[in-house]
Order: sequence, then C-alpha cells, then structure tokens
Amino acid sequence: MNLDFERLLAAYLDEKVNPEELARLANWVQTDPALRKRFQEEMRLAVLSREVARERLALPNTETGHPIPSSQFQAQSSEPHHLKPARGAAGSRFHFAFRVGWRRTTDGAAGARLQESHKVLAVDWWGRRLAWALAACLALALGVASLWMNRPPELGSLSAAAGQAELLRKNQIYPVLAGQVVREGDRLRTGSNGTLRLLLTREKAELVMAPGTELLIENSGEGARPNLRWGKITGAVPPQEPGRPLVVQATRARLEVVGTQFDLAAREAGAWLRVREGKVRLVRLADESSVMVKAGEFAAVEDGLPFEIRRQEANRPAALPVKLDYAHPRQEGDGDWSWDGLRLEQKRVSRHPFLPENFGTSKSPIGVLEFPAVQGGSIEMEAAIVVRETLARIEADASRAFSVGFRFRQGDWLYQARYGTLPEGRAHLVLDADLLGRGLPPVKMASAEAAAQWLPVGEPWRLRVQALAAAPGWLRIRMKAWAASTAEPAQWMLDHGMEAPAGIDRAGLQTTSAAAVFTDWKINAVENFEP
Amino acid sequence: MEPRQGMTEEERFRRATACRPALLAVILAMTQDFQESEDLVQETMLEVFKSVGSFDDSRDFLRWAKGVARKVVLRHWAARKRIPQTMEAEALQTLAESLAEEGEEPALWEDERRRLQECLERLSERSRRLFLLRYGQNLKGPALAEASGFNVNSLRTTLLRIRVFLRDCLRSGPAAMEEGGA
Repeated sequence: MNLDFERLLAAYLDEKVNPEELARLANWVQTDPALRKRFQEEMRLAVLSREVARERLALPNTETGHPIPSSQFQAQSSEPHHLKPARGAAGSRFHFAFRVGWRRTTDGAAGARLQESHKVLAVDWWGRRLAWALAACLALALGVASLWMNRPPELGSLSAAAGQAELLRKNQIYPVLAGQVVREGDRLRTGSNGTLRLLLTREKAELVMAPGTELLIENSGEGARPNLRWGKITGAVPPQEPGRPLVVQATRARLEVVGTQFDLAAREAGAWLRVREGKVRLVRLADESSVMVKAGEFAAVEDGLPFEIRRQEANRPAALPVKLDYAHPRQEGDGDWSWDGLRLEQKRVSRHPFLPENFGTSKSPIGVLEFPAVQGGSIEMEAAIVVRETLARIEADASRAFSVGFRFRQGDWLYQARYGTLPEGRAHLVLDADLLGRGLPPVKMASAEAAAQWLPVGEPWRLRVQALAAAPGWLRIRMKAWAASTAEPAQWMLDHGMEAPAGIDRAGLQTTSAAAVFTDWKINAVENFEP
Repeated sequence: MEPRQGMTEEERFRRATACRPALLAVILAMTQDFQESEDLVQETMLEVFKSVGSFDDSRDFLRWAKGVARKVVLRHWAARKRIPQTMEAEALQTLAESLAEEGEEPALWEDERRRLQECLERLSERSRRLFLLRYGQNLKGPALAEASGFNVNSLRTTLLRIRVFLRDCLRSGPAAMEEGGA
C-alpha cells in the first residue's frame, strides 16, 4: 500500500490539496495502474455515497411512524457557507479541540486493515515531522484544551430539517442541517414553515418541533432536558431507565416521561399536554402537584383551567350506519343511541308529539368534539349529515311555511338553531356547544351555514361548524340531528314568551320525526392550540 | 454524420441517462465539490441529449460523454474566470481522464447503491451522521467539524475509517460486516 498516496487521496477527497500535492497525486494515478484503479474505486464510492446520502436525507422517517408527515422533510441543499453565522454575528465559528482517548477499532479484516493503515500513516507522519508535530501538539494542548474542556456536551442531533429553522449557539445563528449535533445551551427555532426532528442521544427520544416553536436544550446532568419555550413539540420516547425519566420543561409545567408518545404545547399562559401512548406525569410547577396523563387523555397547566385529566373523544372518523327500530318508540326525546367509539346505532326513534318538553335538555351522544381552548381559540370542522328517513308528513297548512332563526341559552348551553316547516322528506339540525367551567357566553357559534337549511333525505349534506372560545376552557361541540315538527318550536317559542312569526297556525301543524346520521367528520383547523 | 442504424433514439436517451453517475464521477474529479458537480452534470446531460441523436453507434458512447463532461467543466471554469493554475488544472484533468477508461454497467451502479444503503445501516450512529453531513449536506473541513461535533483533526481519520468500512462492506456484503463497525 502506498501510504503517501492514500494520505493524499484522503485529503483530495475531503479537503483541498495544494497544486504540488495535486500534481503528485495525478502523476501517481497516471503512471501506476494499481493506483489508478484505487482512484477510480474511490471516486465511484464518493458518487455512490453522495447518491445514497441524498436519498437518505430525502426519505421519510419510517422508524417512528410519527403522526407528523415525514414527507415534509426534504433533503436540503446545503453548502458549507450556509453554516456561517448570520451577518452581524460576532465571534468565530471555529472550534479547535484536542481529544485524548483510546481509538475504538473493529474486529475482522476491515479493522485490521484500518489499524495497519493508521499505524503506518502515523509512523510516516511522525517520522518526518516529529519536531513540528510535537510543537504543534503542545501548542494545541496548551492553547485550546481549555476550549475543548469548556465545550458544551453533545446531547442530541438533528435527524431531519425542513423549511425555516435556525440554531442559536453562543449568540450566533446557524441554519440547521440534518445530522447536525445539538449541544447544551443550543436554542432551536422553527419559522412559520419550519419543522425539525431532534434525536436525543442518551434517551433515544425523538422530538419533532412544529412550525413556530423554540426549544432550549438544557443539560440535566444525566442527559438532555428540553425546555419548550413556546410552540409545540411531538415526542416519541422509548422506555427510559428506571428512575431516570426524560424531563421536559414547559411554561409553568414539567413533564416526566418514562416512555410514550405525546404532544406538548407551550405558550405564555401555560402548557398543554396530550398523550398518545403510554403515560406522562404532568407537574404543575406552582405547587408541584401532578397528574398522570395516560393514552387518549390530555391536561393543561394554565390559569383559569382546572388541573385535571380530560379524555378526548374528538377527531374520530365516524361512518355511522343507523338501524331504526320503530317498534319501541320512546316518549323522552329524540331516540336511543348507542355509541362504541366507532359505530353508532340508533335503536329507537321518538315519534311522540310533545318534543318541546325535552327539547332544551336532550343531549345526544353523537359527535362530541372536545378541545381545550385558550381565549380566542377556535375550531372549525366539517361533517356530512344524511337524513335517512322521516316518519311522518306534514298534512295541513304546509303551505303556510315559516322559517325563523334564533339563539337562546339554557343552563350552560348555548343554542343556535333555525326551525321551519317540515315538508315531506326533510329534517332539521341542531347544533350546540358549551364551554365547561365557565359561565356563558363562553362560545360564539358561527353556525349559520350549518343551521340554516333543511336537509333532503338520503343525500349527504355538508356542514361546517366554527366555534370561538370567548374564555379559556374546554371547548365542547356536540352535534346531533334530530326530528322536529313545526309545531314544537313554535309552541316552545310561544311558551317562552317569544313571538311567533306571522302566519303560524299551531292547530294546523303536525308532528314528525326523522333519523339522521353524521358521517365524514373532519377537523379543518384548530387555532391557538391543538392538544 | 449520419447515425448508424441499430439503436433507436429512445435507446440512446436511456443510455445517456444511465451514464449519469459515471459523468458525475468525472466532473467531481475536477471540481471536488458535489453541488457544483451536480449542476455541471445537468449541463452535460443537456449537451449529450443535444448530440445523442447524431451519435455514431460505432463509437464508445460513455467515453464520448465523459469527454463532453470534461469540456463542460473547462467551459465553466472559463465562464467564471476562476481557472485553476495551470499545474492544478492539468492535474485535475489528468485525474478526470483516468476515469474515462472505466467501463460502465448501469445495473452494477444500481446494485452497488442498494448494497451501500444496507452498509450504511452497519455504521455506528455517530459515523452515519458524519457520513450524511459529508456526503448529503456536502460539508467539509471546519464547517463539517462544527456541524458534526468532531474534532477538526480527527475528521480525516474518521472519514477514512468510514470509507474503508464501506468499501469492505461493498466487497464482502453487509452481512459479513460487524454492526456499528466504524
């Protein structure tokens, strides 16, 4: 093996060589067939490596099956100059280090060759430049050892980066790159379209930073202690060593994670946690009280909200086949529903003529969406409603149709609905929403689209619901479709001192019932916070 | 020159596309920079596509395309008015020409690329990260040291170690290699 050639080749591949060295390398390649073959082999490996590395960086992370689409992560074209600190940043970005330690070698042929290679290379180097090397080492050891000793420890690395993101280290800002080491004291920030995937070394935990997030990497002494300054992270944490949970800091709260998948959001007012798998202890810093949040549950530490565990039933796609059982009409309201989380069955349908008595309090188990919401938080969702069947017809006075929309409140419920005549094959929709723990008016419903129409039987009708939280709390939206006649709302209005629209003839109106189902639930947007 | 019969235009285009990695190697030998090389490969491919219709099938296609690649680099140097010193330019051309004689087997490239993917899994996490920064992000020297957390002085050794490992892995197959071996 021509070690001088190997050394030059390595320098040529990874650094820059001076013209004289380059000429020497070229001469070897030109005149020695064996060395030419080595050069060809090495260039081939370089091209293969480039292609494989690019492919790898562009690939989605399939290891975690994380909910955030990995397809967002693209390989970034990154040149060395991208690593320069931002304009105006002070100081040097170069670190000189002196490392002392045993070199780990591999077994087998590759390891043996390597050892041999290193050994002879080293002898060659020292033999010819011993004095220089000694002097340089001493200078390095004395001059920069302290820098090395003071260098913050590595706590993790970035496995993927996309969009706007930056790393703030010692008051210098760096764009981030997949593969980059993350040290104690580093601040990672994502812009409005940026996403970062961070792998914590000791904990083997993966944290994905959503757009608009800042994460400060602190050192717990045993490993990383991420501090979510603001924004949102999603974590996938494998089981940790007993007694050494991953601790994540957030506003007014602390998480102790022993192995789970979770979403954590932080803002000025507090922190919100949702657990997907496993369990996480959420500690309120103010009094060190804690709750254990398990899979499917969420909780928040924020003023004005109870520090308790909530379950989220929302965001379940529901294809809702309905079975109607007319043999058991009930008098209590709008039917008897069973719901196992995926499948809804309507077993009985009300057919009675006095629906208004229960109209204000009947609560359907259908379609409950529940979210914690900050003040001004909003949710927008869509669903399709299909009226399956109506059970009666309007017989008289149908020509004197009316339609009126109004809002009212009863107890903790805010209703906005519209009622009208009920021609054949139509039913109508009631939407309601409430906000637990706070008085009204907690929620403003922008549900005009949803409540303003009668629904044709058998045809899916798409509706859109927007709700706005006027105060922090748990925002709950219930949706149900139920039957109503023109008589009941009119009667109810009159009974409650409301003026019925002109043209109503109570005596001429009939009662009817209908069954309807919701399908295709879809949450479009939850602003401010999605647990 | 009228093209010889025997190869359709589509086949020529396919052939031109298949030799892309070999052209990249030639250009890389002259530029020593992946990003720049990839840009120039695109230019080379355009040149090759322009002429491929009239290419004489009796000639060595790959050797001809590699010649085009070298000319594209020389033109690039001239255009940016940063032509390397004579000695340096000659040396770089010599290195690039040394790759001209290498035969081309597109299937072999593909096969090696697949094997290299598997070999990459055998690297230690730290080495793999360094590999991705060097080859995926095209970092070198102090920038690579900063991003990877490696000492500047140990980078060369570690990269050499990684390359030796991958070369051996390509030769003997991933199964023969110890996991986390570099």
